[in-house]
Amino acid sequence: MLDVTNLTVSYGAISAVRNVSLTVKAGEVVTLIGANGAGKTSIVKALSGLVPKASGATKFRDTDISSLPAHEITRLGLVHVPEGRKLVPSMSVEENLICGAYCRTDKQGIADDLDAVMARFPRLRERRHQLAGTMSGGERQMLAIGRGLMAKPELLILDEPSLGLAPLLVEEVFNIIAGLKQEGKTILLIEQNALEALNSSDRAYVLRVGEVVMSGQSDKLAEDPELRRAYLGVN
Amino acid sequence: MPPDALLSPTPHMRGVDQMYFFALDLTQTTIDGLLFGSTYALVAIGFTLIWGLLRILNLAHGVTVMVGMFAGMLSASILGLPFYVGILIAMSSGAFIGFLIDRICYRPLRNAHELVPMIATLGFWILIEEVFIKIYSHFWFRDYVPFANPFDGIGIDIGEIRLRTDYLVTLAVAALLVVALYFLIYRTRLGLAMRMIAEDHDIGNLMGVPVGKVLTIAFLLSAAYGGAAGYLLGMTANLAGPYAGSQAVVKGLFSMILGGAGSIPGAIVGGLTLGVLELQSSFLFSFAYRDAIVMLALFIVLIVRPQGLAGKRMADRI
Repeated sequence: MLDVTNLTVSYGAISAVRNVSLTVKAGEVVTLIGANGAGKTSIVKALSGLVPKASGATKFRDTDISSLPAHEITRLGLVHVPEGRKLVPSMSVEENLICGAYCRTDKQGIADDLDAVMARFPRLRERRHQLAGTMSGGERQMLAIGRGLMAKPELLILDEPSLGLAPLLVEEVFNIIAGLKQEGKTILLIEQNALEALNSSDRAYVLRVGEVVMSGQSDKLAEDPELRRAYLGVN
Repeated sequence: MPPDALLSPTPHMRGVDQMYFFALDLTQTTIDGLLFGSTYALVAIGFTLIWGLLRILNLAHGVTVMVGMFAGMLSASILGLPFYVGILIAMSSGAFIGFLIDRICYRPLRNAHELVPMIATLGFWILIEEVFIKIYSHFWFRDYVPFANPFDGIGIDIGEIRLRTDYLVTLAVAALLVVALYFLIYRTRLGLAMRMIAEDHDIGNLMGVPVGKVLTIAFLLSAAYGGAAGYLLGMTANLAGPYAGSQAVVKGLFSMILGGAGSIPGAIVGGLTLGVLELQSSFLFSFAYRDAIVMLALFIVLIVRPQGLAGKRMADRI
């Protein structure tokens, strides 16, 4: 579904990502793990068009998206739930969800999906008229994921969904991801929480200062002694 | 107030008369200020739209006012077109200037530091105004040209208060444009896109909004409102002058800051307050000190309420 070959992302003279290649197949949950500054967020920002791709080829569902503007990439079904949620705090929960469906014109479909998202996240239904800016971190993350689902994504990119959440809520976020996986959704998950990310994904890429240093089946990687020492903090 | 009181010979009663007429004039001035202030509110809304979406002070906004005023003057005084046609022409001419501002000052520079497009708008303002003054002085050898005002001298009397028809028309047009803007922002898909972009351009990008196109529309809209303000300012003054743009920049920015930068209610409150402040300071003190008194008022407001009269405090926004 997603094919990235030799992607490089540069900010001025600094290259944050060098020659990264990765693939995501339909129905897979793939995770990118790595420490702060490893270039995880830069990769997904480049994929969704928020930052330009310096070089490399990116194909999404047989369309070359290497130089497409962000809004057209979204329209193709590559939906990026960004780090820091990026909600509109002055809008209500419901309005934020409607924002997610901006590209869609099927009124009935939007109404059905709004209902489905609220069924998935009952908290959002309770607070549908509350301003997004007044919600807690966990609720905001649910809203951000819900908004992503409103776009009817072919590929959902979740960037650090557990960042800044209390342990109980982190668990809830991973439960949500497990639920989405069961429904057959294709997900590219970016996480610092490597162990949880490996547990809830099919395959993983390990990044270190802008390069892929390891990749493979998530369950195999979770057993890898070097990885366990370097990233999981366990022996 | 008994009618014979006017003829009352006693000094005490004369004092009461003076109080009565003073109160009457004060009321009349306040009402005129509120009605006339709606033009300032329109100018301030133009600034606010671009500020809210781009965090850029569009200093070229005055050009849209000036062009709207002269387009209006040509259609009203030279072509003799009716008011509603003239104001549409003024809005379209303003919108054309808005298109140029977007293409020249914003689009090529959108990835630069946010001060860069602002400086570009300053350059655009100076360039267009200077060129316009050259052209203007080629045709006319005076500071102002007459602007035909179809409502000149007409008014509605309520008791001893007179509501000038041209002011009422001004308020009606401004109110209509404000209602239309609110409808656009809160009831349409384009408005939803604008509200996303006002928060963060990336939100728009991620939701599939063609951000560049929406911003072009915002420039057109803000400039059309500037054009309408230009027409109304020219019509109520019965004059069109080449410096109208510069004056509008000062008044519009003043209104925006007084009301609270970045909010449309703030622009409206600021504009109306400026209208009242200007007329009252002319009436109570002197026309010569008008601008000084108005600036002093802004100074005091900013000390007491740094967020402006109707603005939100930074802490509330976060």
